[in-house]
Amino acid sequence: MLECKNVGITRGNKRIIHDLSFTASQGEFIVLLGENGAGKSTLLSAICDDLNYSGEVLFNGKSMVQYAPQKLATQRAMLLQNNRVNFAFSAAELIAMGRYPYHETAHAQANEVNDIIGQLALESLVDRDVTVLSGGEFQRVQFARCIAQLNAHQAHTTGKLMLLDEPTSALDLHHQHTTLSKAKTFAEQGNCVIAVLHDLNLASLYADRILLLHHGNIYHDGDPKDVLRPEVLQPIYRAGMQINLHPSFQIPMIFSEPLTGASNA
Amino acid sequence: MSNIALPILNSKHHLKWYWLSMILLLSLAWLSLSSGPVGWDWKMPIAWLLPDTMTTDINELQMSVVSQIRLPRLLLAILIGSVLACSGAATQALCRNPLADPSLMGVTGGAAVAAIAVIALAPKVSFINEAMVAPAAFIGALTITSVIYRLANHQGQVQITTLLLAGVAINAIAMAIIGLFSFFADDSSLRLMTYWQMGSLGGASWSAMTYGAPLIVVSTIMLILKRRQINALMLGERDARHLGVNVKRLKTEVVFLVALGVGGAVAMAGMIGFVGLVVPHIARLLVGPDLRKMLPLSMLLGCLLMLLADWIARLIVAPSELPIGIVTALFGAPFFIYQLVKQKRGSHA
Repeated sequence: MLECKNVGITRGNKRIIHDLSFTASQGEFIVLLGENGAGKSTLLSAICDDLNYSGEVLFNGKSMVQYAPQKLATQRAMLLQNNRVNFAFSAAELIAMGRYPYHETAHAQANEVNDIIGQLALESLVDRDVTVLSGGEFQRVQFARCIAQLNAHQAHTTGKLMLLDEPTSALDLHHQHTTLSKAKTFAEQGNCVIAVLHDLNLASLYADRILLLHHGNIYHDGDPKDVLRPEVLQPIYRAGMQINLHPSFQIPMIFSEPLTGASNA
Repeated sequence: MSNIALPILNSKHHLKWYWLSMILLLSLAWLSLSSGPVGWDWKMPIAWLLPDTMTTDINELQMSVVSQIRLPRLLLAILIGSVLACSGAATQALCRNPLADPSLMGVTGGAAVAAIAVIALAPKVSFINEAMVAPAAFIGALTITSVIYRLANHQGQVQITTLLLAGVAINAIAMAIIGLFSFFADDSSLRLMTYWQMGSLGGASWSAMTYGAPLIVVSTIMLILKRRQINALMLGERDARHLGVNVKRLKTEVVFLVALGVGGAVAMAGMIGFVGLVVPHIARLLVGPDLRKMLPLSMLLGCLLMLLADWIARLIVAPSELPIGIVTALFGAPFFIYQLVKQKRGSHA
């Protein structure tokens, strides 16, 4: 479904991504992990054509640039991190912006937005001014906009690509799970989700596959049990950690440890 | 579940503001046609509209004052008010900041320099004439808008501090160049230049309208047609692109259309500041930032503000006349300071 072939990205004099290749299939929830500056967000930006890159990114066999922008917008959506809006739209209006690529009546649009509000339990936010929402509330509204853009609230939607850059960074525990569960369900319907996360345990709970990036290369690619091992993670994160199995789900859970004076050096 | 999005998304409450503004606009238009230095008579617009029905004491002179002076002036106020409000709203969306305004960014200054250069050179250079004022103002505005936008844009984000500081610098340069032209200008050109600098609708005439009005009409209509795309731009360039907007083309178009509108406005009425800042702000407060609702109201309020400011400018020191730019600056500048303080407080919250 998505094919990145020898994608390389340079910013200024610095090579951020080194000829990186991977394929993502329908139904996959892929999590990008890696230390700060590993190139996770940059890779997502390349998949979205937000910056120049060498190599090729193919979506359903076609280069992204070959798609008509509006058509592509119904097939691919991205949730950016730290992207505040300076104008006092209501949350409902912001979610409705996700319907921009569709030509539908105002009434039909309101019905779609209403479905999403119900599914994501955003009723209390709909008429709030987005400039005064908390970081977490705003992140939930922006996620809802991505859902609206891809028709992700409808069970029959398939073959679409959702890119999430740290979608849970400002969310409380409950909303971390509601957001990632929704994304996971969307992937299972026959779509593909690629999310940048920093929380290794959330990655373990939700990812079908983890790409661990290091200095712009894929350091490890595999399922959570394969990637979330001390010998794989410790060289990247340079932190002490113990890994146990989750008592209910039998998946790896990471317990990190404070750095000692010696390991800090 | 009841449809809770419907009342918010399809609210018609903006219509009441349209109606109210329209009624106020018609009343002010009436007042504007009825009053002036030659006298005040509420029957004058009726006498002009329906000459056969009136058997009053309205004489030929008063009739021609209405048709040849007050009516073009009224239309000019409407054109200038709507285009300045529209350009202001579009510039703010482009810069993603409600403090952006063509006059503060130096766009108006750039247009005025070019217009004044044409006026100053027209008596001395044979191939330069009055018809070139509007195109020159447009080119001046376009150059400055492009330069300022490039200066302030960093990786898709417009730095408002850079934008305003660059505006201050460009306005200073514009004033210096205008000063230079004034220094070498003869008496008649000097009067015209002063008029450009402070703005006035006093030059309104049907013939003067033919130069600038097409620019304004094209700019306003095109910006209205693009309101849905410009809406998406308010989310940020990357988000707009992800929503399917051709951002690069849209930005170029907005810069071009704002320059066209401001160029046309400056060519006909000189430098009138703060309308593009104040009016969209009030419209946003009343109906929210969605341009599909806000842009028509901005245009109505822009016309309203220009008519009111012009009416004050004409009558406050009658039979003489105050430049309208002074009136708009007197209420616009304090408003700008208030906004600046509000934004500063917001950023520290």
